[in-house]
Amino acid sequence: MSEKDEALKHLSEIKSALVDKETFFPYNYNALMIWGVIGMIMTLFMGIIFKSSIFYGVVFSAILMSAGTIIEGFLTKEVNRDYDIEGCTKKQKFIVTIFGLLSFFAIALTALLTKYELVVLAYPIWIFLIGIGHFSVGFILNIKIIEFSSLLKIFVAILLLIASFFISDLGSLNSTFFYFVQGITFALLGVFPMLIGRKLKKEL
Amino acid sequence: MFDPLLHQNIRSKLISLLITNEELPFKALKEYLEVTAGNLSSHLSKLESAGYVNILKSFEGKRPKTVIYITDAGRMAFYKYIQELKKFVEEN
Repeated sequence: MSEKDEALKHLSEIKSALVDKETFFPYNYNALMIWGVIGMIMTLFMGIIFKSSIFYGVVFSAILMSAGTIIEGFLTKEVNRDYDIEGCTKKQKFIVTIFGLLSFFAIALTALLTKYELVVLAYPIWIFLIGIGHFSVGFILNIKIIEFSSLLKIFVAILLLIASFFISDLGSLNSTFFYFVQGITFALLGVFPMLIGRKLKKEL
Repeated sequence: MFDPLLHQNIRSKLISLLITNEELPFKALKEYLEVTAGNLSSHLSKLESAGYVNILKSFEGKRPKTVIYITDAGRMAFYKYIQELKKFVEEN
């Protein structure tokens, strides 16, 4: 290998280290399991609670999302301690911020959709927003499985929104369409994160 | 011709990582660079002697803790090194 080739190879290696998205990111994948459980609870009860009272629905969602964030915070603190990190890294802050904002928006939108008797639409919207959050995380951290599953979520959410055009009653929690949407949400926001968490944990 | 401290694969990657992350714990650097603790310590002490990095050792309770920071001199030297590499590639 000539000196020039060596210099080029060296430059390319430095460039990869500088721009490579797969940089250091301590994460406790048990947090994904927790989010899976929260996703399941949300999917099963969100519609009923919002329909009975928008206020209780907002409180219920806010409590669940806060509980998830607090538990994730504890798990992250624990894993950070293993790496001698005090507080949290920039990437961890980014993830908490993006999911905080998306959850806040999703809760507000669910309240509004319930008010206008369109609560069923809240489900694809949650799938879409969580998908966007996961896509950012997967892309930044270069975790292919998260990136792929988030694209799937986004795609399914769009399909569900398109299908909603042909449904007349989007406020009923007893329709076949609602059960169909709820089942898909349960799988994508409940079961999926748990499976991915388990897989990534095994790979550690 | 090139800065001998930086013209080495592990050390240049190490500095690149510190530039992107500002500071990194010893354990994280060791895992990312896939080197042994002894090997990493040896590279770090060379960089520390040149003033390119700061190594902060402390205790959290009874646990020893080591965090590595890049210095301004380290940034400047790395920038200069990259410029020299680019110039060399362009001229040859």
